[in-house]
Formats: sequence, C-alpha cells, structure tokens
Amino acid sequence: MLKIADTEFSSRLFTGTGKFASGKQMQEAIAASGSELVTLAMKRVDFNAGSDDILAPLLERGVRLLPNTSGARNAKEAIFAANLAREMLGTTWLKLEIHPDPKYLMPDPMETFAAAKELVSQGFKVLPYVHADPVLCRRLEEIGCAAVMPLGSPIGSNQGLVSREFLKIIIEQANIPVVVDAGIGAPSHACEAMELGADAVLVNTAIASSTDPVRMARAFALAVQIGREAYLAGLGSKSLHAHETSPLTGFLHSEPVDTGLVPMDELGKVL
Amino acid sequence: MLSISVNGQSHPLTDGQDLASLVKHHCERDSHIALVLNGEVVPRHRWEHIHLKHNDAVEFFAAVAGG
Repeated sequence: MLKIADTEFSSRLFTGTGKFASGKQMQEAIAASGSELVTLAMKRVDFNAGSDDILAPLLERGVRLLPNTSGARNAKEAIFAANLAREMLGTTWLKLEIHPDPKYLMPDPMETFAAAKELVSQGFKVLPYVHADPVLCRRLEEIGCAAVMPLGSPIGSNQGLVSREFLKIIIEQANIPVVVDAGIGAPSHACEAMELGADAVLVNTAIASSTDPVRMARAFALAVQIGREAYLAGLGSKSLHAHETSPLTGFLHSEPVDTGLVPMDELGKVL
Repeated sequence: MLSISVNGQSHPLTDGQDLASLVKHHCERDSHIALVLNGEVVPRHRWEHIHLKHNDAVEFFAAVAGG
C-alpha cells in the first residue's frame, strides 16, 4: 500500500478539483476515480459572487485534502499560502508549487527548494511540484519532503510523459514516493507512469476537460491499477533484434533453422 | 468616519469591533476560511482578541477548485 508521510492510500490516483463544469460533476468524477487525495487552491473571497461550497462534499467523502500554493511566484508567497492553508483547512499537507511564468508554468527550482526547506522546518508535509530533475528531487528528499511530484509535461497540456527518461532516474533514486504530476493527458500516460514505477499520479485536466469526466475518471482508475500491476509483474527487457517466441524448426525440413543461438533446455542449460 | 478595507472594499468600522464579529457579519459559517490582517495570517483562536483599527486591511480567503 502506498504510504506518504504517516498516511496510507489504497488508490494511487490523486485528482485535482479544477476545471470541472460544475461542483456536482467534480464530486461524481472524484467518486468514480476512487481518489483519496484531492488538490485544492485558495482565493480571496468574492462576497458579491455566489460560490459553490466545494469543501463540504469532499469532507463528506472522507478524502484527504492537498491544498496547493498556486499563484505563489516566490518562496515568500508560497510560505504565506502554506500558512493560509493550514489555518483554513487544518492540514499540514501541502502541494508546494511556485511557477512565476504563466506561459509554461514551469516550477522555479530555487524558490521551491528554499520554500520547501522552511516549510518542512515549520512542520508541513511538503509535496513539491518540480521539473523532472533527478538532482533536485534528491535534494528535496534530503531536506525532508514527504514526496516529490515531478512533471510529465507542462500543466494542463495533456502531452504525456515528455520527461520520461528523467522520471525513470528519479524513480530509481527516490526513497520517498514519486507522484507524477502535470501533463498526463490520457489513461495510457498514467499507465505508462505507473509501469515506470511511479508511486502515484496526479490528474486533473485530462479528466475535467474530457467529454465525459465521470467515465474518464473511471478509465484513469483502471489505467493506474493496470500500470501498477505491470510494474509489480516486472516488464520484460527490450532489445533491438527479434527473439523467437515459437520453435524455429522449418516446416519442410526436419533440421532446425540456424539461428546462431546456443540451444538450451528449459532450465537454461546448454545442450 | 473610521473605516477598514475588507477584501479591497471600504467598510465603516464600528468602534471596538473585533475580527470575530467581522467574520460573523460577512460569512454564514466561519469554518474553512482564513483571515489575513495587514498581510499576516491570523489564527482562529485570536480572532476575538483582535480589535480593528482605522485603515486596517482584512482579507478573507477560502478554498476553491484547483489542480
């Protein structure tokens, strides 16, 4: 079972709450996803506009809340947002995200590291959103982050695992959970991340912006389970050349075709 | 007239008003909001002990959908 900080999760699919057409649709999609950890943002209250209470149904479902620091452009703002979240929601869990550039929303590694260090010392369970940088991920682990959340591709871009080769290194090195976050655009991408050995994935846009978000949430849940199962089963190795899966005896000749391979018995003993 | 700013809008200030009563005035429920006074997050247990002054800036924050 996946364990982050002191909490166990039976689902390895985490979901965001943004971009859904309605609160009702969001709730139904989260229910269908089976997600036990959902992200939220924070905003100054607009007293003139009516707003959906998104919290009550989430708390009723019993999901764990992961407030984010979206909108923070530097460490100082992120630390402020973290304290706001702790005060508002009574949780020390935090998705630390600092992205000053609105075009690509690339996380700022230096501000993220500085904020993470301070927030860990303040007792937060910090899950930083970062580029797929193996060195940065190690450094964040060393200072006590609860998990790392490297990106697959830019937030909301649905491009999939553009950072695949670096995610593999991060996963290989990490002693804390690796949650692939951002850019996962299809269940196959989520499945791929899990096959690589990611501990979990965080998906929002791909579910919320699909034609049928509830059904898509279900598809993601299945994909994550399949990917995890495949990872545990251990994928076979890749090679450039073909390797026969059937006996290479010719139909018209009793002699085996010369494959250049050394014949072995079932136990691998050379005959 | 004494006044404070609440989420950027000017409001008359009743003499001696504390943060807790300001919350009651603006929100149906006080759960799951956070208050910021002049740029500092104010913990809930201090709301009733903080009396507002002329030109104070109060901001109410709440959770919204996000990824």
